[in-house]
Amino acid sequence: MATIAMPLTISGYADETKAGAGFVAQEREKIFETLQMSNVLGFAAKGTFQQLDEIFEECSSDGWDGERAKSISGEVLQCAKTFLKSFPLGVEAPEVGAEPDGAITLEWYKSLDRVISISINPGGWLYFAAIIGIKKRNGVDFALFEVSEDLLELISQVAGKVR
Amino acid sequence: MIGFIANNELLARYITSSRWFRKQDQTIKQDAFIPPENLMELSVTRHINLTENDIWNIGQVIVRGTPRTLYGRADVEVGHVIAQRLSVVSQPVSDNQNHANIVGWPLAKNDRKMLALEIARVARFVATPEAGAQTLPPLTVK
Repeated sequence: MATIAMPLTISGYADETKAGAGFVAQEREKIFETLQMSNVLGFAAKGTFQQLDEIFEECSSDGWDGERAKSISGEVLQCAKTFLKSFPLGVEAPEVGAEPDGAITLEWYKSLDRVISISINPGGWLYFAAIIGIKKRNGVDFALFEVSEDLLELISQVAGKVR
Repeated sequence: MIGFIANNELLARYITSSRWFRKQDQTIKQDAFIPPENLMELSVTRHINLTENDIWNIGQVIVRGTPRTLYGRADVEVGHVIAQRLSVVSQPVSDNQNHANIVGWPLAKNDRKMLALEIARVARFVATPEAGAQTLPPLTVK
């Protein structure tokens, strides 16, 4: 699967004026938004951001599961969007879900033995668990940083080669 | 004795979100087995001494008066839960004498996710009879 890496932060412009760097950042953001709308490359065109809005709507009050589930907060929704925008373009879209502890989940699934689930929790914490054949991995990260190479590698082992 | 829970007993976790199971292969997502964080216990219903109808009726009571839909249930053997170093404790409530909780969840969320993923992997999705009827092939009249 071909991908395009477009980091969200811009560095290396020490000689540029602030205005110039701002212009570059704005243009970069516009290009990124356009590419996000691409059917092949972007999560936006694949409906992922719309699914996030839908799940927020469905689970925005406590007890949304008919039992004791905690509501999904606007903060968690924004963290999930920020996290997904940090992905390189071209990654297969995840399935969006919700957990009773108020987390949004992103799942890449091929079979019961090839699956990774990532939870975006209040406070911007990100937790993941994966089963890839005989390998089992779980860990913690921060959703407001760019997606790590380690997570991208795990996702690629489930969904197909990312790079 | 209803307080004693045998390893080969079946537990039902009601599926009240369409995003808790995968429509393409009717398997359960780990999302369904994550406990609410403030309680750290996951509600389930023991099958013991219940008919299929009884099991579905309890599920309908859970969603009654809420905007939720009962899509089905995830059935899992107690032994699979115990294998993850969790426990099942009987906790009857007024409208469900077979109510139980899965307890003993680890403090770290990523560890809880791993256990939920393992349990979901062996759980069996059973659609509500209404949903199941909708997916049956149409009858042909000769």
